[in-house]
Amino acid sequence: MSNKELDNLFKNKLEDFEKSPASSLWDRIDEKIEQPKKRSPWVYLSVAASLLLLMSLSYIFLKNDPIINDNQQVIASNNTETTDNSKDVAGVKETITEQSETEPEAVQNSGKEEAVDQNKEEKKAKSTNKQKEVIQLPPASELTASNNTTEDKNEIKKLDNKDEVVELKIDELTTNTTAVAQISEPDATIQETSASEVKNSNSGQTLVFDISQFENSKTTVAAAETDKKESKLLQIFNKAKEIKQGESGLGEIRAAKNNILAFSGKKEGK
Amino acid sequence: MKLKIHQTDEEALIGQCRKFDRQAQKALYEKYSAKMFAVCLRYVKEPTEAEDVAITAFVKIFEKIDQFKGEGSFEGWIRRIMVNESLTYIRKNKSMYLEVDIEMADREPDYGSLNNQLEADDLMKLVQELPTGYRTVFNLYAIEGYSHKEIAEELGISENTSKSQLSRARALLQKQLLETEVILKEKIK
Repeated sequence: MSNKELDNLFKNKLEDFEKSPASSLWDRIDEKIEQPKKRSPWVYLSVAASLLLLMSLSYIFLKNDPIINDNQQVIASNNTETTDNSKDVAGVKETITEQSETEPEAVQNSGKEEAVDQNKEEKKAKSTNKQKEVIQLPPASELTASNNTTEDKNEIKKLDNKDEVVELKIDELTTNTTAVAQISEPDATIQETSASEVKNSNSGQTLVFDISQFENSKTTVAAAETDKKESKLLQIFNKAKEIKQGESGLGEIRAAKNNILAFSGKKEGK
Repeated sequence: MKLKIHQTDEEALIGQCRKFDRQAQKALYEKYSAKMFAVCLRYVKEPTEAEDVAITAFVKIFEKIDQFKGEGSFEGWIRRIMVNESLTYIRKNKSMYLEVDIEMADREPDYGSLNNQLEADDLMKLVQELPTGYRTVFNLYAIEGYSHKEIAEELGISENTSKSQLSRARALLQKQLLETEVILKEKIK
């Protein structure tokens, strides 16, 4: 027990015993802290930060530059094509508006003529599809083309309802000059214009598209036309679906775009 | 349920010291310097040497303050650094195990009255006058509360050596205490 008592005596008195050191002690500590410490953490931090900045900046520039260029190229080509096509369409409009005014009278006649007209219109619808196929690259012009086809379908519908056809058609002929143009123009000339458009688009394009795909889209659109009882909204919906699924040639553009991106990605990877 | 995060003044001070805030470091030094200097003096009796030990220990504390994870008291943490630094100094500079023949005391002092009559300064002197080896083991065992195993590992000695050093230290202190008891009694008379 005496050992414990002795230990406790010293422990109690000395454990929290205080003895102030010389006042100069802090200054000596202060000096010593400055040398090893104040620099090292900040130097390492700043080096790490600058490295990180450099890496991130180079990464951003290297990654973004080729993509931006590619996108700009694609957009530029699209723009030129749309202007070309719109010019063509405008030209067709001008030449054919005069003829279109004579057309409603012909429609007015007999049922046979109506049938003929129907056939004619189907053909023309196909030809417009051709036009549309040519225009497929730029999305904006494609939308107008698809509008034309649906309007054609409307006209066909209205031909079935014999009475009101003529007046309605006159309205439509004046408003939708493009649709009228297709109706009044003989097939051959439309083919010619479409051919010229192909040339135009070829000169402006850097991408070449498979014609078989256009054929496919033509048949699908033709099939849609035979389904005349479908509502207009449903037809537009189907058309949109086709475009989305890439059946009308948009998929090819998408694939091409993906290829470009993949290529640029590889480039960067190297 | 609300989560309350209470930060004591000391925790705030430690947080600032982690950012190498010089003012906080000085505040922390001023809070603990007297206590920690006394610890150093218990191991290293020469004041100038004890100061050197305290300086290196404080510099270490400020450099390695990130290593304090908040487990246990901060004072305990810095005290351990002080003790370790003192032991390092002793290992480098002293021949530790000076054998001194001590006659075992024939009677025990009255620890109760000694506790009342003796000041910490008097006991401090007694400890400081112990031979280095005895002093070190006694300090570690009796005041810091180390076990013989820990002391043996810390000083690189066997547990038996630690035990024998401790018993010799106690015998010496006991002898000293009896002498002071006699002096105190004479003073009272």
